[in-house]
Amino acid sequence: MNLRARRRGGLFRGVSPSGDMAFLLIIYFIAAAGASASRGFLLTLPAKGETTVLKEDLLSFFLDEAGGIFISGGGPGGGEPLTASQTETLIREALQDRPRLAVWLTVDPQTPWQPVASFAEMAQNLGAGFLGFALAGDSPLPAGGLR
Amino acid sequence: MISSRKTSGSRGRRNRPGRGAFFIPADSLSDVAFLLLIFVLLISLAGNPQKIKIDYPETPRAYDTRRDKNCEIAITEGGEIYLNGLPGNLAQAKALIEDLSDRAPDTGIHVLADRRTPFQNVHGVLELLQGAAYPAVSFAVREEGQK
Repeated sequence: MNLRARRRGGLFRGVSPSGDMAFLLIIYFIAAAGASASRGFLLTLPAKGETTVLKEDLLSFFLDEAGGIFISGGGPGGGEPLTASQTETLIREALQDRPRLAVWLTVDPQTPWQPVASFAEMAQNLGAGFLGFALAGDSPLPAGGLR
Repeated sequence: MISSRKTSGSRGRRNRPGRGAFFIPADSLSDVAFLLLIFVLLISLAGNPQKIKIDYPETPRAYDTRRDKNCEIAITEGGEIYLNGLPGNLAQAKALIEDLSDRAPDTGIHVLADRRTPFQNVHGVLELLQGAAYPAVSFAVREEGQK
């Protein structure tokens, strides 16, 4: 058995390590490019002042500073914040009855972005075509008003 | 069994390129590639010296929302605004959004808000986007369980 490495002559002898290095660099840059790709969810924001919503199509929630979700005017929780599954069921059932449902979320100014993003992603994923936001203290209804 | 085979004419000497045989010693190309990588990384860091620290909110699902043309509006936990990686404010954000709305409405706008930032910081940007009637906005999130 001949274990001696075969050596070839030529102009570019010994370039194989640089080939490996170039390959690793390509992998690195592809991975880096993939990691920087923005991942998130798309939301269609209602145009300010132009959106009019039918009163019966409106489903309003309030999100407090601690992230508790309440349905405006009292809900199944009866003063207690709704759980995520309760909120999801409410929106799902409302969407079945009212395909043009408008979900309106009034948020305490100090509420962290995390529960707002979770709510928005959930509503968008359920198919709520209209999702509006308001700061607590501002007008709690769409700027275009109710019809 | 290891055999030692002598090529005719070598007379036991190591197989070196003979005098006059031209070759390029390319073994050190990997070192050059490594130095180039360091160089590129340093240059990219120098171009973006202020690292924006954003802890994305977590949601059960996240989608690739990247488009051909993209614009990023980052909002840190403390409420600082960065427009495409550069420090800015709401007035500059408004000018940028209006410019994009007129000139390149197919640009994807990505809101990168820290999960802990108070909603009032994000609401200012949302109002700008609604005012410009930007059709769809992406909110950056991280899929649950992913780092």
